[in-house]
Amino acid sequence: MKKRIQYMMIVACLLGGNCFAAAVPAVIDWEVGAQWQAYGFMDTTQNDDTEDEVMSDNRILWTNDLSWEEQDVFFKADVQWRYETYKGMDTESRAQARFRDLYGDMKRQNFEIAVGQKTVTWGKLDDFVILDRVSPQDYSHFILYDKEERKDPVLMAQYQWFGWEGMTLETVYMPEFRSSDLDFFGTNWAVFGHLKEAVSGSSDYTAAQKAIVSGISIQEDDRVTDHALGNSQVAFRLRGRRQEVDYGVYYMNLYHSLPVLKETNPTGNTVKQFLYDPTAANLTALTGAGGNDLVLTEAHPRIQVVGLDWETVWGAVGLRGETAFVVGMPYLKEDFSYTEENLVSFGIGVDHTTDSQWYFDVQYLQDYVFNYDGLYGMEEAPFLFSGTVAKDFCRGVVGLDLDWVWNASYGDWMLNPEATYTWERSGVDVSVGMFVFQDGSSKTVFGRFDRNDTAYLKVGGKF
Amino acid sequence: MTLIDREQKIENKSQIKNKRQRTHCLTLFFELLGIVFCLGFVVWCLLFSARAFAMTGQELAQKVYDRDDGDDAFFRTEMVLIDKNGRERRRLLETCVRDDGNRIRSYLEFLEPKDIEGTRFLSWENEGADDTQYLYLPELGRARRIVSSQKRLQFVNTDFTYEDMQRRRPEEDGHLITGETLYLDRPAYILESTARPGTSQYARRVSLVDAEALVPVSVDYFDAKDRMIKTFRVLDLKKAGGIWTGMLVEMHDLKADHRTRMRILEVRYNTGIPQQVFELRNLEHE
Repeated sequence: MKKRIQYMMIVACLLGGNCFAAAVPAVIDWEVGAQWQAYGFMDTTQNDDTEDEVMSDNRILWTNDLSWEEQDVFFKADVQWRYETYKGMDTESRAQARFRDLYGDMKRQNFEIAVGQKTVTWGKLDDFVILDRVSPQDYSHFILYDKEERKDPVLMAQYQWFGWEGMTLETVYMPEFRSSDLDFFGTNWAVFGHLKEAVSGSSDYTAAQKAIVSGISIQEDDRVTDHALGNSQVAFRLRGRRQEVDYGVYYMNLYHSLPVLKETNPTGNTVKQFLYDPTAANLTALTGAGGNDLVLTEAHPRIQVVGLDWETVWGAVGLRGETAFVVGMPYLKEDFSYTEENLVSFGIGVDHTTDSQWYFDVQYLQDYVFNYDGLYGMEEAPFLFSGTVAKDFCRGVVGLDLDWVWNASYGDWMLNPEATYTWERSGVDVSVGMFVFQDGSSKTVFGRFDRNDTAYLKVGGKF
Repeated sequence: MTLIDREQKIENKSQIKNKRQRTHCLTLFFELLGIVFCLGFVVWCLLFSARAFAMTGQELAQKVYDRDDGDDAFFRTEMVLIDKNGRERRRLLETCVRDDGNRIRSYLEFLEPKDIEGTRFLSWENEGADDTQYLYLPELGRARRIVSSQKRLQFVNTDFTYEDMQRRRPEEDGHLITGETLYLDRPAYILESTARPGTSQYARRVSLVDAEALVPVSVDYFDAKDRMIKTFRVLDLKKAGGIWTGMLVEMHDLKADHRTRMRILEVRYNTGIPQQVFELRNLEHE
């Protein structure tokens, strides 16, 4: 019902928008725009029948910016229509229409207030989350999209107070919690991929085993997704500048937006053991456990984050970094039982552009888990390197870009070369590229998807 | 010899003498004319150049630096990138500049085309140090500090480098006035500026400075091997709000044969642009 009402509202907006525009007082400037994107992804190697060979993701964003300059008041209402298809053994599709940014904003000399559904970008590092935790992200296509593209707007009240010398105190209050989007089953990028289809479609398993695997379910934790005052989240950021260094000091009290699976009964750990390591032995163990209750819960524990970010330039290089101390990070132990530990994360980034316009960016990230006693897929102090090499040709008409990540502690890595051609007059971009995920065990982030190397074509434009 | 012959000979001598006298007179006339012309030229040179040679190149450069360009300014500009085949790409941008005496701050935002709409640039000039610069890219969602010491870098794919976008202090160059000429039918000084080592991507610049407006209306840029690599031309100089302004300018990269032409569509001076415009919060505004 809720979805139907939302559709109706969107259709009403689309149909009535232009009529209403004429009725808007002249003092209000209404800027209407649109963006469209059509993405096609192709799995480079068909490893088994259950994989999706081709995926498409098509989006249209209708943007409306209303500003009343005299009063420094601004209203934004963006509506997105999204249609995804997954073509493999079966062809499936998902359609969604919803408001994205939908908020009002009022500026005054020393403060600014925004209320509504919006996205927040905090922190200084590219594409990694240490402090940028306010907005949840859509991981349904893993990291095929950049961090900013993955972000989802959430309902919030945002207050910024502007002090002396560029000092800014920012407060974000979110009355409810919204999880990051993640598929557990049924797509190439789901945490457990096509495991259920693989078991149900195979003749290697008994009917009992198939019934057990299909009976595994993962449920949301209603306690955190309820519309209750107790589920409020807050975050503060104090920004300033000392000498040549821009800095930010953070405190956040919010739910961990990426779910970690929590057992609801003793069989739960055996279920997780099979899901993360789907061997015949683990399936036998699961069958032997004889569980009728194969339900796991998506845990989103409340975490507290204290952090610092900074950015400066040193000679011909840009330097930036983030550090966070996180209380209550969720993990799985080696026996797959759920646990929470404290964590320190820090990262540093260096970038440089040569005189011939080559751009180089390298980041180093390190975690340290306190009271480490063995965790599944997590060492005590893992570290990784990531980077970008990019160059524009023909004054920005053609762009080449290579993003890479090397998980030094686990040995898995990712490469993402991309070439883009821009038709500036028509505002159309065409990109072709690849994602290559290699090495590492199935416990590692990229090793888990090392059979999912993907070529893609992206076409998009604005008008 | 007959009488007639003798008379004819006398007449001939007389004619020759008269002819010589006329020739002498003409010679004298032209000599005098030449002297007068030369003297006139010298006097003209002295008179016309008195203004120029009354000040040194350093003083002229200082005057150009100190000329009244308003306490603040707003420009709405059309930028056209023209490649060697004449293909044009149009951009629209707004620029705000505020001069607080010890620090000049500037803010720039691209309005068109759509693919770079919302790209913003903030620059704070620091006395005796590199400028502080930030770039906001909508796809990044936040402002990013950028290195201002790399002056050779192209500014958003134009023919202007970051150095071209900054004011250059007179003391960073040695300046010499080498003459005067006319540019856009207006008298202009020829100012040759040699960069102090390590301070510029250009070893030498030859500028024409409009004598009245004190605006550099033409600049030829030379590299370390004294090759002319770029030219800057003001194609339309006008007074707007009482301040001389290059309403149409062109930067030409000779090596790439690529031009960036900028036409000011709207200009406002001294309107009291608030300081907040030049702060990070404005760069990251929605």
